[in-house]
Amino acid sequence: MQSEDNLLKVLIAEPSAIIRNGLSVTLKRIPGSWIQPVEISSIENLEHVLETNKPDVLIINPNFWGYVDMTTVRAWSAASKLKIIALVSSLSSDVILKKYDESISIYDSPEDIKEKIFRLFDTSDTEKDKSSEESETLSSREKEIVVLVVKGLTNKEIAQKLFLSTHTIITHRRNIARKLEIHSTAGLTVYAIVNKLVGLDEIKDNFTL
Amino acid sequence: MLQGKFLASQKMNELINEDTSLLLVISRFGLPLGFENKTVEEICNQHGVDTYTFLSVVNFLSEENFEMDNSYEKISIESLISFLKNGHQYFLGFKLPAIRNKLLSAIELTEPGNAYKDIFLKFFDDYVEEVNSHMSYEDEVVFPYVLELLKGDEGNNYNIQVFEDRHNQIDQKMMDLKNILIKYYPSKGNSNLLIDVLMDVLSCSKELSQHNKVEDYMFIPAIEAIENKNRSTYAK
Repeated sequence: MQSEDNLLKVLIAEPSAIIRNGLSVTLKRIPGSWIQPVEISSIENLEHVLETNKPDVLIINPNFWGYVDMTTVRAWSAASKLKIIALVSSLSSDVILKKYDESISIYDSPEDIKEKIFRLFDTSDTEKDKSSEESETLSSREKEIVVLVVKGLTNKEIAQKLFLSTHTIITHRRNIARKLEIHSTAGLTVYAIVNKLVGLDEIKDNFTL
Repeated sequence: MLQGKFLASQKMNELINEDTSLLLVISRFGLPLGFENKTVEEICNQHGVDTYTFLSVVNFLSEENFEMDNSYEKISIESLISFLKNGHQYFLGFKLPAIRNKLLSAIELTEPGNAYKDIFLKFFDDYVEEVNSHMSYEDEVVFPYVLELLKGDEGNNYNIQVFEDRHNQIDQKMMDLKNILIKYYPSKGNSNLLIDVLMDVLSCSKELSQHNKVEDYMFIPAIEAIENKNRSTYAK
């Protein structure tokens, strides 16, 4: 699921249907991100949903914990680096909130919530700004790499040819996918042909029509 | 499933009027049009479809915000499997070939030299092949396993976790195609056909993701529940 760069799975655990649904809708309206909320209304389902849905963030009412507590959840999701955010609807002690990665009040504005969630991840605002300042069109180096990918070269082969590290090529490819919004090699091939980066005859070898 | 928006006592045609996209769900359960004023329950009974399962799927897909709980026991796995199988049939036998035809006509019209025809078709056919192998695996391996499981057969080494782990996303290339057409296709002249294909591509990828959502959030958890139950019975 994480192949979609900006997809964020958020699990909302809150007994009040009004607050739960309201938060879901607020999260979905946050521009520039694709937040996929899943809601649970009883704590018994938490383990199961964590396992099947594998969320990136758990937003939970601090009064919601029952026989499951935060230490248990941290242990279950140790591998997935789950972030836990407190959903605060009443006065809560700082001592309690400190255990959470972040806390959201039901009076927070959508902008506040957005900032708090993004601060927990790489997709921070600063980085977003940086990338939007960058040109969204491909650099000549990136075009060069697209052509080689389309011609069927592996990342390693491309690295050798351009005297770069494989790691650099992978970074370039990630940027190419993000800029073009094309993630498959097959899709890149169509892109490259249609935009005349390569001719049909150049890729014939690994592209039998 | 919790109490949803739609009820067994509601008229089937009302349900469609409220959410037209449910037409696809209805047809995938094998319920033919011509509902008169019959209720959901009457129609389901008439065609041997489990009403509870039908409503679970309908409510699950029409809810903007969906909630998960663990009341899977009442779901009829047979009805759910037939829904999923009909879905496969719909994508492979109808929807994808229809998109291919439209794509072909659109390219022929907007690209007089037809220079890109082959490359688009190759892309599309490869994609269909991917979808095909994904869905055949479910038809040939997963569903038969589950039907055996329902009979109480424990002799199989397979379990649903294997499927869950390899259940990859199949709508990525569809999104690529969408982006290529929207952002990069050098279209000339009248683009009605092209827009038409694009609308189809978009609706198809939404349908695919809904289909996958039913598999991930209803089918797999329901099977896991059965496996766990069997395991604890055998342990005793």
